[in-house]
Amino acid sequence: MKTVLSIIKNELKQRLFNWVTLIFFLMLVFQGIWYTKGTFDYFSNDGVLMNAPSIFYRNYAGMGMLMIIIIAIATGGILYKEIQYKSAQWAYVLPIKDKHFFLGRFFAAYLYLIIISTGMIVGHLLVPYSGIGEANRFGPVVWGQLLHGWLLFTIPNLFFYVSIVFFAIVYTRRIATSYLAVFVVVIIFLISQTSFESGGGDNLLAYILADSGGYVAAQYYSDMLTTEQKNTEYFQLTGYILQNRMLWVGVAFLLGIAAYFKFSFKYFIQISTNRSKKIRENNKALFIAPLVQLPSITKQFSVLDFLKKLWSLSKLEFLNIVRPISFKIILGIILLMVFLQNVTWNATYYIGNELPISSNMTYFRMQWGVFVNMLVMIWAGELFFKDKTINIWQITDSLPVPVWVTQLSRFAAVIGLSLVLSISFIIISIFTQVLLGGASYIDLGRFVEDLLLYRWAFLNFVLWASLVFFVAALSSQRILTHILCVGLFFFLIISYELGIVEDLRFGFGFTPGVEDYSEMSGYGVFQPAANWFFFLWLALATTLVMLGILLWKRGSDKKWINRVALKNMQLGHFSKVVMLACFGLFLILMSVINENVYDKGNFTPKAEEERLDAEYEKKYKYLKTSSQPKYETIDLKIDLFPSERKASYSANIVLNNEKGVDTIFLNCKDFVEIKSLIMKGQELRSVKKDEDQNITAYLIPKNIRTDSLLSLKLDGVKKYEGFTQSDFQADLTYIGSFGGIQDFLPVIGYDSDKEIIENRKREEQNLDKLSSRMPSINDSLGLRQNIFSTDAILVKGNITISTEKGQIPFTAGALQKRETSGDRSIAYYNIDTPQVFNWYLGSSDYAIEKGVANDINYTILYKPSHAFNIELYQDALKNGIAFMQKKFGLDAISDKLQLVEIHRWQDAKYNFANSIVLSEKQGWVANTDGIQEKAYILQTVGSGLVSLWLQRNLSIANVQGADMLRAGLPEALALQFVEKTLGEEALNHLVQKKKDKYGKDRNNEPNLEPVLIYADGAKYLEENKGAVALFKLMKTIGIQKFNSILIQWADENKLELKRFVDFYLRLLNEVPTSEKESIKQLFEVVD
Amino acid sequence: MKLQIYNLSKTYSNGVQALKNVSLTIEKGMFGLLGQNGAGKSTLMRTIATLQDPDTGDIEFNGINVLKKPEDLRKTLGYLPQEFGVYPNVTAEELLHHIADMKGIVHKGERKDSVEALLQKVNLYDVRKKKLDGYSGGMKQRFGIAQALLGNPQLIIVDEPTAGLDPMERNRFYNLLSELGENSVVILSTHIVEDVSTLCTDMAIIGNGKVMLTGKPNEIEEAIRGKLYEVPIRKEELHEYQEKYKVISQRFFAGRLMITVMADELPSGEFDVKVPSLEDAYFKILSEN
Repeated sequence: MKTVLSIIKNELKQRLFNWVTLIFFLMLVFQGIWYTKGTFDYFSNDGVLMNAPSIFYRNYAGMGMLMIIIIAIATGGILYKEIQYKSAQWAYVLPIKDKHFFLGRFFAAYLYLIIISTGMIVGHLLVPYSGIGEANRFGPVVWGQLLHGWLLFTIPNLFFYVSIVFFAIVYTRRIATSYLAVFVVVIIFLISQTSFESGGGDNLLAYILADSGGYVAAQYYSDMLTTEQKNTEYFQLTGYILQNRMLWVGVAFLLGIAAYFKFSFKYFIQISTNRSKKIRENNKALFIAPLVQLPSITKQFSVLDFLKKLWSLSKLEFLNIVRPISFKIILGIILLMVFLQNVTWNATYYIGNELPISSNMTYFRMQWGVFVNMLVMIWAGELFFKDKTINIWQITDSLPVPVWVTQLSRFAAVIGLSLVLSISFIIISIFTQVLLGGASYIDLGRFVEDLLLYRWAFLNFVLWASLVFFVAALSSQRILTHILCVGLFFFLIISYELGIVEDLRFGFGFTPGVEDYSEMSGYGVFQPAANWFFFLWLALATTLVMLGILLWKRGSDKKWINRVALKNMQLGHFSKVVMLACFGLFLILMSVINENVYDKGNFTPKAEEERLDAEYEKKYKYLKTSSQPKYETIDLKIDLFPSERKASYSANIVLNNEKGVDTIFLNCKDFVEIKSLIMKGQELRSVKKDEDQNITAYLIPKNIRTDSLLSLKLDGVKKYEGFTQSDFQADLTYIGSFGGIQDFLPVIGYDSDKEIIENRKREEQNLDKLSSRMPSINDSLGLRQNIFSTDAILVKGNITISTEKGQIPFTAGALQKRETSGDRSIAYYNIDTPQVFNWYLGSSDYAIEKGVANDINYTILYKPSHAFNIELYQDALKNGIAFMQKKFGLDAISDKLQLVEIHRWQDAKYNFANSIVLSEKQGWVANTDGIQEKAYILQTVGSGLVSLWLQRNLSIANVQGADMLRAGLPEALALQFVEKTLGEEALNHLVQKKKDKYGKDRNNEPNLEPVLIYADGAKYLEENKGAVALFKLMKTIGIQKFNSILIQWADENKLELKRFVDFYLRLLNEVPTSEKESIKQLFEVVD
Repeated sequence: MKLQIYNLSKTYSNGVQALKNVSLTIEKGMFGLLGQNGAGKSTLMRTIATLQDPDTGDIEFNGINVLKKPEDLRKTLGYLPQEFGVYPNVTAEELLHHIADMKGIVHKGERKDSVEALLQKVNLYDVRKKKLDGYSGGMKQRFGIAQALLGNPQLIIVDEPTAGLDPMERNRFYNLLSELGENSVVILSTHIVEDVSTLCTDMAIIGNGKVMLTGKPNEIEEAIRGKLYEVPIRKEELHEYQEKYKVISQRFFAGRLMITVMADELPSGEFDVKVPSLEDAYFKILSEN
């Protein structure tokens, strides 16, 4: 015991009073502050304090990148240093017992890390003084929770890391394996965490248990806490957290004990030299140098010879990587994990399981691509320094082979390695797809594009390997190269993830839209953008590789001046010119991207967007209460040119100007240009133009304002210029365009959509906090406005929409005719009865399915390869129409109904004039063998039909509770429909799904969760808790009664804008007294 | 065939001046570079082998300006560094083939013949198919010699080749190295005097980065003939003798301390005349510096 204590004391004495320790400590202080900011930003709620215990608990559980690096660097050396510095021969013969030595070093390492980790606590304590937030963001210091979190997560986590590091070193007698072990643990954590965040709810326990640090468990735990709890509570050692802690502390004990028993001086000192490999020389004693004449030779050093050498060396280096059994084991493990992920994990999004389509089979790259990229970088670094590591560099560097041959051959080997990995991924993914029954819809192009190009695939690996190549040449130090490259990679990934960096120009190897593939629209505008970015990075990567050759330190102690001098012929003059040309190309491409993405207004950083929105509110809020004309009739002719991302249109508009306003304010979306605005043959004159805000004021001459109606002829063009790095620009994309009518026509008056609704952001922009995101129930202005649009009540009209040949256009209203004229595909729509103004339009290469249900003609527009569930959709429509007609009358559904599939980039569903539009993730590719997927499809269609009925029969005022009618009521009635059609089991699935969704999302409420009767437009609330509450109310008073009250209430004063609270009170009257309290609890109280 | 070194100086970034104005002319044959550990031998070797830049000076070999055209020198260079590793998972034959290819022997047949001949020469032929991580220190050194000799180099540099070898291995090296100087310039860098005296026709002694002496080993020995005397003494008498005489070396012999003294005449009757060796000359130089 005394020996152990003495070893610990000695080790700590040596290490603690050292400037490196001080740097480590300061790094962790910094991390404590930095991570607090990142986690705080994750919680959108305004009430969460910046020094909330929940934030600290998560920081401790996550450990942080810097802590992990410190663990990797500092831990292993404590056990291994005698071997490393070759002092074991004398140190291990000192009168110390092996096991005492091991224990002493183990606890010394553990205590050292524990002491350093207090830097995080200090960082947390310094947060209020760090300047990252204003004083009102901080509560009192939570000493108890600060310490508890550290004890609950940091202390056991450090124990685990020390155990695994010691285990790896003892069993392999190599320090490198301890780095690998830490690296693998981190990767598993990253995969668990990203999979958890990507919505893999089905495998929650697996993700929680796989993460040794307990971060996923802590994240899940904190997600379930209310704001108040986040700010005050101690995390309980129960449930998932307890399971996670027990598992990993147990594993740590096992690893530690296994290492303890294995360790002995005699064993450890062998330093992995396998004596069995030693070769005996039989004729040793007889040896004399035989008189053998060396043959004459010819030596050739032409460029062609070097090229041949490059090829043969590349092959050799490549085989040296892939031949060892260790490579095959690593590859096998990765492929097995990818296979399991593709089999078990499914992009759940809004529904349950999806069919094994190819795009789902390539999604694993979002997690594994990052891991493999790091692995390739480390492999590359090791390969570039191979000769130095093995210490054969003095021989190889003095050989008459140019640097470009030896180093490029290694780079080529890394390219080969990346290719092998990517092709293996393709093979395993196709195998999985076939195994899951998706053989008939294998899309090879998808595999090639996603796994062989630059979306966290082959080419990204190559790009990052080029950076490693350059850094290796620059630093000439293996470990430094690893730290710099992997550190930069981590830094960029985390920075983009946390939103600290948005601009992709700083993200070496990053391309836009990596994870935004849509079955309908491909990568849309991200495709050309990604191409440009890739070529940008390729030009830089080529420059880096050539610079790497130029700067590679052949030999030792080479002078910098000689390495960078023109006379350095490691790179020939011609190659130097090529290198400069590549760098020039990089600059040119950067300027092209600058112009197209940034100068042309395709990208605005979030902070700037918020500033602009705040500015808009400050400047134009007065318009909210001042009268402005409203849309009444629209005859629109719009021609879409998807390949050019352009639309030109002309509209005859009748505006209602009953207040006789003399100035009309028009807000246009970006890239919209109003060519002309003519009223009674007279061009309107703009009197004010705010280009930053895209708002223009036009004077309406007095002579035109003769009555309450204004006839306006508007000609406009919308054309996206350049390309983007972050905005889908989905209303005009190559295939599958879909956008609102007011993405083209202007919004009149004050555009409330621009208002910032998150109180924290409002405060940052010096705007008053909102007590509610919607006008209060008695707000006179809100009571005069329709919830669907502030610049219209009900609108009618005609829309003629055309698109390019090969695509089919659609829009709001009843389809009158489709025709093809020349190279244009045209559709004529008509909206006879005035409708709420929430219209959309779109165009894609649709397949059409037509049918009739109870005299209602319907059309389904869908992606031709998504015919999987068309019959189910038709059944849903037929049953839904029958249901609606039975419950709400024969005219409940308008004729010429259309159901349309769109991309997944926008909302999940849209319902407007005769149209139900569902995202591709709403069930078009769902595996509908199970009842919950069937139920979901039925519910989305049913909810759409109810929504259309409500839009035609109920005018909803723009006040609190409006979304209970607009969104909650259709969902509740659709539950009725599902129960009737599929029974109680299906219903229970959906109700549970809604409860879960509400339970999870309510904790990310940015402001304050309102009660249902004052619901203010928070989707998680009305569509989930709201719908379930209404359904319960329905059941309480009886479905029949509920429906008849609804019909009656809708029919009363049909044109009057109605409030939910009135409907609720009427229903409440019907609730039996015994149930009243519980119903009131649901609608009038927040849990 | 001649290697000329002009005024070579090198100071490392930590301030250590490894070479101070070193100038040497080395003709065909075995040239011994003798010096203590840290004398600057390896720095000089690496600089000649194009692995390191000097601060000042020039090196020329057969008309090649080594510092300006290192790639030309490498075509004719064979270098065995003091310490080197090998790729663990390849065989001697594979690695020699690889190095032969790198040395410009592009024809497969020639490469095969060369590799085989060298494997036989260094007596590794029987174990040529064995992976290099199983080789003993001596076998690795012989492998090192083989790779240095590949491509029939005109300039061969061997840096401390016998360090760490047992006497038998050293003997083998002598056999091997003795052949090398016949057709090329061979520089043997060592701190073991016997290596030089056994093998080299010319030599230089280097110390503290400076060339202290150049010449032929036998001439250097002859220069001190008749001036060396030795006597056995007790250990505690050493200080007294050092005060009185110019003691250039000391060694134990049969349990007594034997000192060697340099003097123009017999210092006293207790001394015996000593037959000079290169080691004595080396010690003399060291004691003078």
